[in-house]
Amino acid sequence: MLEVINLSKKYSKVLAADEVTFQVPDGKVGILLGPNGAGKSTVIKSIAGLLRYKGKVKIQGINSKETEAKRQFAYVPELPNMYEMLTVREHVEFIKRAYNVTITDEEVNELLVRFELDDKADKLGSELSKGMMQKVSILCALAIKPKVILLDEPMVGLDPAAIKELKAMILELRDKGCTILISTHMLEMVKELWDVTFIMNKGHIIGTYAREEVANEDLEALFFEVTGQEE
Amino acid sequence: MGAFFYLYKRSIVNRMKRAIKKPVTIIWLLFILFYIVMVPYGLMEIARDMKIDSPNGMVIAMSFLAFMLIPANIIAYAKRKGLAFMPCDVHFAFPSPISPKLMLVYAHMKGLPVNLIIGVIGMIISGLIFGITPVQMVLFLLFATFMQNILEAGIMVIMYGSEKITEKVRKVAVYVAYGLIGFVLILGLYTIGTNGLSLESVQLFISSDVLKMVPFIGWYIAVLHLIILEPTVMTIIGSAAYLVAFVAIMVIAVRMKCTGQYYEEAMSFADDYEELRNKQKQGSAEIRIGKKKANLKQADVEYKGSGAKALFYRQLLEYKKQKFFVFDGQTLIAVAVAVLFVVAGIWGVDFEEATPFIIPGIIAYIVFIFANLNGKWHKELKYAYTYLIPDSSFKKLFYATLMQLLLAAMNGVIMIVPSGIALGYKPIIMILCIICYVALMANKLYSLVVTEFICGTALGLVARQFIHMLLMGVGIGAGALGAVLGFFMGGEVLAYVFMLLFTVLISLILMIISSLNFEKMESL
Repeated sequence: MLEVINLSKKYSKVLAADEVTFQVPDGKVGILLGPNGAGKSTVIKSIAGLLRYKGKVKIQGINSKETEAKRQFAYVPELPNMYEMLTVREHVEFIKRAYNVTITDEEVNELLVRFELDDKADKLGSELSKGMMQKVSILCALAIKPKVILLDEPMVGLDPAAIKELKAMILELRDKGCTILISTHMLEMVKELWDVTFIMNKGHIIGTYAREEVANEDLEALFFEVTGQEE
Repeated sequence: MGAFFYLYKRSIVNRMKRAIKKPVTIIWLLFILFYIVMVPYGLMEIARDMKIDSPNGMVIAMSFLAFMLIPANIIAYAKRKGLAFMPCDVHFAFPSPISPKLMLVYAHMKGLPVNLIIGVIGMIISGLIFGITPVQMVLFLLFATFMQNILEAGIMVIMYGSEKITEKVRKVAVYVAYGLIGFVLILGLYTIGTNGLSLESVQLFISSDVLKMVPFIGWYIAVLHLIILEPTVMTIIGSAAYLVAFVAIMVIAVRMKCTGQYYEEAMSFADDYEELRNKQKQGSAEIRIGKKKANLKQADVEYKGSGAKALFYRQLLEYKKQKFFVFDGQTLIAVAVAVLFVVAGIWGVDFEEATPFIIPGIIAYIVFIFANLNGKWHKELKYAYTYLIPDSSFKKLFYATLMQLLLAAMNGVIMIVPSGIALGYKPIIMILCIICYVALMANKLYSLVVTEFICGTALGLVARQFIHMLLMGVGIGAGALGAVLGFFMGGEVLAYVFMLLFTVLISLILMIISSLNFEKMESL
């Protein structure tokens, strides 16, 4: 489970996130939506431990700053950045060591095949295209075998086959009981994935919707209705 | 630590594998070998001439190195600078369970392998030049390379990672470091003032007991004295203070709580560092790490004409928005050169037969060594719209570089007029000199386009720079040839005319080749 409790973040005089509270239960896919400048990135980076903030973030009930919480948490940033001098396979090995996770070579090979990276396994980070980097970023996050995974605009830069594979992977993770939070603008892409949606605007959560409660409503229509933006 | 050790190891192995495949590695290795062989001989000569080829001399040399490095490092850590995290660290390492303290040590230790190599080479050279014993050499290596590095890592962990030290305390630490530098400088000036400017004075200053009591810098010097020279009461006290500080800092650094609050600054620093690396690759001279982006002024520009002229007016608008308008690093270089010549003129420095050609010689040198400063125009090559503008490629190239040529003329006037007056040049020579400078700058711009065309995506940065400098060298060489021919045919003015003609000719050839390849982005 991912719990965000009264999270506030101020950049000098600008309050980017104000008392943001939400939770994504085990085995559910949460979507964080919001127009540009709503504060989504601030919340995401705070959850990932990259920003100072007020409030609490808990991963499986543990303070997110604790090592034990970090061990169960994976993060896919919006813009991937590779180690220039590590190959794709070596990135996975680095993650394996950093998280002290047990992942067999067969499992790594399976992931490489699923993301069509098997022929790029020995390519250096500096030799990869943006799309491939994004695939490696997702692959490394999955190698952690996380209990909670945070994906920031994960579909950007991916080809249709990779998007399809990622969606399948997200549903597989959900079925295994993993907690997933996706921040995105691409409503179309997450239509069939979401269980709970949080809509942010001007640093606040202005709407929380569970799929079973709004089964007949369109996510896109909900978004425009709540944010007051034109369709 | 296993993950970082793996990261280091694989990065080094992959870097070496890649380097082996590149021919430029052999050139670099030859350069390094040349330096390793030549530098000790050169330094031995200098040490002998300065009469510091003794253990005492080593203490003096190493102490000066410590003056330059230790306070600067402490100030950098107190300001939360001086650590090179990369965006890939932010992506993969920061959210991981790796301890934030370990992350700091990792960033600090990135430079350790290079420091170790330099340390070992330095140790051997020191043994050859200063005649210290092998035991002293090893002790010096252990102290200067390992112990001092670990001490600095401890200071850095505390300054960067501590979540109890406030911004105010960090500022105080910076002031204290400046205070220490000031105190050492005053002490040095006092010693020189009372004993006169001589090697003995410097020696007196370095071995002064007061200096050995100055925190960190002085204590370091005390340990140097203890290892290389004989122990005295004050060197033992200073060394003991160093050891106590070392242990105290280690204890604080290990026991202190650090949950990674520094990640926020480190993340922004990593972005700045990456931006700087990319800009340097593209030839920008901007240095901005950890500072806020400069606020741009409100400005507008009236676009006159159409087509490729838009490139010129857009560049003009960008310059108008800048704080110092068109004045940049190149203007500063021009001012510095002018000041040097004016001072030389005032002091009556006689360049003898070289006087009529000293200014063009210097400007050619300046253009050559600052070849990687390309101003704003270079990014035009990266924009797709440059190629999409419906105009001829010749016009596009001309208007994309026009602003740079005008700036070259301005900087040329700033540099050459005062210098020419100071050296007694005739007005016509000064005008020819300015035109020559503009032609050399044009040569630089167009040779860059030709270089990009030759290299495409196949060759790396070093190869590009090499080819660019080679092409520029051809232009400068042609100018020099013209000057020689003209001088023997009809004296000074004709030398300038021929020099100009030859330089302009090369620039024109480069311009035509450039414009032919300015058609498609693919060719660049």
